[in-house]
Amino acid sequence: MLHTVFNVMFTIYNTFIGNLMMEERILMYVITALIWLANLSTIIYTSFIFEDMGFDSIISITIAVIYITILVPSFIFIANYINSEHQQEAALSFIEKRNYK
Amino acid sequence: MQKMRSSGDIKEEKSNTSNHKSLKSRSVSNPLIVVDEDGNYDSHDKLPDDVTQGVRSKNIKPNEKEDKKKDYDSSTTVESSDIISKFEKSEEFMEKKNKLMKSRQEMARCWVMIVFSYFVLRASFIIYPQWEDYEPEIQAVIIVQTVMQIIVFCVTSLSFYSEKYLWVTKWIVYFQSLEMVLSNFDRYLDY
Repeated sequence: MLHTVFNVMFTIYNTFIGNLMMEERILMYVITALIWLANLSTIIYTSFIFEDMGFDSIISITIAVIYITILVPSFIFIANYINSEHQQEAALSFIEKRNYK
Repeated sequence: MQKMRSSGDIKEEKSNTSNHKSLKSRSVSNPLIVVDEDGNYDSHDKLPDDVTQGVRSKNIKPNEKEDKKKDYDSSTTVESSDIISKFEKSEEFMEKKNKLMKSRQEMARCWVMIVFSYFVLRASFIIYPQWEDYEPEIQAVIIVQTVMQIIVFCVTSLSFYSEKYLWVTKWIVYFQSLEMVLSNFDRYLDY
């Protein structure tokens, strides 16, 4: 359980740092989505015994799947938004610099 | 040539100098902006005219400042992708962008080594001491993880050795994330 916390934190940081360096947006979307779907799938796979599932387990997995489909695009959107905003800020600073000449 | 300068040009230079001085107190943390020792921005950039249209302040009279401010405000409402795509025509902007990317890659390789150190400590004290208790599938996963981390370490060390290989860092970061995915299979070993 303790390792899962670190595991998820490292995955968040790694994909975020990777997204900051990746210039090809489509590639960034694909890689991040793949890593996160794989990560969450393995967590679900190793946390449940599928042969002996109760109602609560099914509801729990259903909620997890629904929120995976929300969280993964949100993470990509936020990472992309921060990156774009930083580049836009740099570009506008460049315009401002010209304004003072 | 200097004798041929008009008095208007000299006034313009003075006003530009005062503008530069007013910038000295500005703190610039963005690596895309280069400020010299005197606090002045460099003037060697070559931007296309449509990028800076309406934002140059040469020969601005007091009454015209409001108009120029409006032009500047309207230029800031352009979509970021449009602005950046126009700036990509500027060699200097691209050079600064590459510098920013390089600083991010240098930060990323340090991060990769921190994550690698976590794997080494966990493998040394938790995973490998209990090696014989694992099922063959888990042992296979651990071997794959170890190989992946050795690759991560070798490639990252290579980027420390030579900056020529620094670009690999962005792929190594994702590669290490995949290793983290695999480590979900041995997470129950912690208790």
